Amino acid sequence: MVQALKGLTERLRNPQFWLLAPSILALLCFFVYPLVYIVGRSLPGGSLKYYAEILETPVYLKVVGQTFQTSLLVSAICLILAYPYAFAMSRARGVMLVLLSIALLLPFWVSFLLRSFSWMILLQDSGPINKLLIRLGLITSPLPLIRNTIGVTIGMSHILLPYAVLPIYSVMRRIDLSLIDAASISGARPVRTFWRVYFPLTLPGVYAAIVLCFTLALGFYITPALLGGPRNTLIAQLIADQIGDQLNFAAGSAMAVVLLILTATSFGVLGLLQLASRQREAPTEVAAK
Amino acid sequence: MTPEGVAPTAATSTLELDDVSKSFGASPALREVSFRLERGEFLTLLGPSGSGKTTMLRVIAGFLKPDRGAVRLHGRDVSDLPPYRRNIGMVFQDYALFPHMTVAANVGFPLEARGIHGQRRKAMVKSMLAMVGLESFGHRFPHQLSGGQQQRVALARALVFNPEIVLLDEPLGALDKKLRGAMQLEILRVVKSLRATVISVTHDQEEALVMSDRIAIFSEGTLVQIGSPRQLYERPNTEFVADFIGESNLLRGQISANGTQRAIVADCWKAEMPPSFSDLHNFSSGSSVVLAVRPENIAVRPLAGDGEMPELRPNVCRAVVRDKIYLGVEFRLMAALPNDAIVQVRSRDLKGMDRFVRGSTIELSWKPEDAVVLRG
Amino acid sequence: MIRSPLARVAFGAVVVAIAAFLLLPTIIIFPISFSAASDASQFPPATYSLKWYESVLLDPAWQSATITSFKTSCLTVIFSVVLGTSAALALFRSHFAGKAAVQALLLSPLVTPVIVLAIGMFMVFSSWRLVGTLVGLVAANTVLSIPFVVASVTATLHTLNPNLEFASAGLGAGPWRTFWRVTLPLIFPGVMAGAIFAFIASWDEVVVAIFLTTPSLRTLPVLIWSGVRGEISPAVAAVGSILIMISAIGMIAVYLITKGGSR
Repeated sequence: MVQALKGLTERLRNPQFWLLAPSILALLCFFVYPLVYIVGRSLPGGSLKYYAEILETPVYLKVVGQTFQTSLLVSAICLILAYPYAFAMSRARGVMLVLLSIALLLPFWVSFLLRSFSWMILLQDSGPINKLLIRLGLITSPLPLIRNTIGVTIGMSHILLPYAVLPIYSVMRRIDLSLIDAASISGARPVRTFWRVYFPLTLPGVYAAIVLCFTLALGFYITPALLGGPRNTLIAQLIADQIGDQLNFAAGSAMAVVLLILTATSFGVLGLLQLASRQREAPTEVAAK
Repeated sequence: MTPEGVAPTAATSTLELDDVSKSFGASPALREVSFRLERGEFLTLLGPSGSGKTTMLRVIAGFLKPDRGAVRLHGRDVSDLPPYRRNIGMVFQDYALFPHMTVAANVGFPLEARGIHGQRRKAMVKSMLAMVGLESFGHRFPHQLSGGQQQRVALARALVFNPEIVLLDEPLGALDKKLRGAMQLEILRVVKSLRATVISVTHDQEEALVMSDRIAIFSEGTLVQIGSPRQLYERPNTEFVADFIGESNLLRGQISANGTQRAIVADCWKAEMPPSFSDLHNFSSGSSVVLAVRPENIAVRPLAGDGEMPELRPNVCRAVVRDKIYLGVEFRLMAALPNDAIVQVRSRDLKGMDRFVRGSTIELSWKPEDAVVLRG
Repeated sequence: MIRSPLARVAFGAVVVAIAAFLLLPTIIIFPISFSAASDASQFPPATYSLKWYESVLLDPAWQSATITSFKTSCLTVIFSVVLGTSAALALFRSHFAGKAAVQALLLSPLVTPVIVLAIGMFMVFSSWRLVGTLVGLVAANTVLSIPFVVASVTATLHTLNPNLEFASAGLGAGPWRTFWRVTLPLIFPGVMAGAIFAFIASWDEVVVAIFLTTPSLRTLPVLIWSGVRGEISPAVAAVGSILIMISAIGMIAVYLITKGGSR
């Protein structure tokens, strides 16, 4: 007891403590406590009934499944688009690099609410995209691009794309290009050089991109609400509905906990993947000379 | 193993460069470089940074395309052939080992690219690793190896597929001095036992002298002189070469003609033309020349006491000692001529040199056959 | 790596297409805001006018929302910068058991799904009667912005030469003076960048705001949100254009600051 008190007074005298304390206090009050409250609210009297309800209601399960599916799809699309873009950035110099960076970062700084709104305009039946497709003769009547999966996918991919490009780009930038020359002079044609030398070296970035996109996509609310139809409802919308409209605090809290668990698991997977790939590059054993 | 199926004939060299030129924007990196390389030769491209030697190597490898001129392998113009079709091996300055592959996978990569798999590939990798002394290291990753070991892996990878030519890009630059000497001999041993044809790039003239059959000296994109180490040392053809390889005293003078007899004169000495002198440059009377004499070929004597002007005799000159340095194995003297030119002398006659101190007036002399006449 | 000119052109076209995909939504807001039509579904607009900017700037609802957003963001910046900078400084210099946990805590709002935070804060703030108050908004936004400030300041601290602080102490300056005259000026770019991130983040923050605002106290994003769910009016586009300009200025400011600071 005396030891603990001693430790405490020592802490209080340490200026670092006073620098750190306010932030920690703020986070505990306004961040940790609300999260704890949610968990508590989801377990009234310790009962798991709201979790059971989630598992037993087909609509809820469908939403969870839909969230997974959409997040996976969006992550895949982001990866496919991000890889060539990041590659172009890694090889660009001067003006080209500036232009590519601006194209990537400007959307980042614009609120996703506004960007989703833009997509609403772009994708509507009388919108420019449909008009262009009709003008080009590819279709005769407008395609429904909004209030459905296409709209949600396009919108979410657009918002998550920078999150995919940045980790891949940062890895590509650090690749030693003499390795490409070495592969080439060793007799490897460009395709082999790419698959056996370049791509494996970019894997850490690719993993980070996929998991980052997936994790963030799980929690999306605004974009699917604006661009999706009723069949595209994702977990976040369900939660918002339960808490905001139905005032079903307990059920909504349980769903929020589910979302938290999915998010944490996803990050956990990323951590493991990064750990594994780092082990390969720099294992702990030291070579004998 | 020439993938393109060109059978080498006795008449064609392994490699021929024909007036190869390359510029980057406005700055020329290679100017009309031509030379030939024969089977089994070890050629070193030597020169200061920026002299074009690395550019030359990259043109031969196929990473750069020459603006003009041709690169021929066994008589066949390969200027348009990409690197992966040239059957050339290369060791990079930073080794460029694939970090995500084991040593065995690295060495086996060129074989994999050529469609050699399974047991045959394993056997070739094994024997190559044994040749560089790393037979038990196959399963390790590059970052687990020391610099010298990585270098040997890089060498193994470049040689495992029996390439026509092996290119070495400053192979010893990253190693510390002690290791360098051992690795020089190691590399030589491996390539000679495989009878490989090698082109090595370096700025270290000692390395060039130790390892090469021939040396090609580059300066500002031009191939200045190509020859055996001895030829370059004893018969440099320009001031640059005389100064770059070893040390030279560069004494400036003019041609003076007396009928068919020609000599070189300066204000405080005169010299006979060396017997080996062949008038390639067509020196006319009065043209400026440089007499290059190596420090070890200059003899030092005390000034003759009879007051006779040494300047009256050829190949002799008076000087005053400015500095005398003892280096254990030899003495080095820096002596000033009457016209303030500094001459360097090296002598192993330690006892003999004891007589001279700073300020001593001495007589320097050389044999005409030890001197080389260069364009001034 | 790519040799054939045809492949190069094709690749370039792909990259340009992706860049267009990235920029398109941001850019089209501008023309729409100038549309004279009452319905943003007309694109490209047939006639142009500044009337939407006029209506937005004169509309009391937009005006009060703007003021609320402005007040919230400014207060958020102040609190998050003070709290975040102190935390970053404290963490950078010290080692103690649980340091990793504290670091994780400070950064965790970034990785938590914002809808979860929104409902949590909603339920808790309801019982504290903070819903629909400026205090509630500022508290929530501060907590969401602290990670940006901490990350930005920490990154700058890593570039500092530690000898400078030792030198200052050696010359007799106490810790406070060392901080004011040596440390703070040197980390200023990081602090400023963090402040700008915090400002933009709270300025654009919508999900938490939806839950913590009421019809009598709304922020700009919330007003946009309700506007957008109705019909698509160019008024929203006009507001959007203004907001994008502010974001662009913020982005340029951060770029200049971090470039200038790293000299």
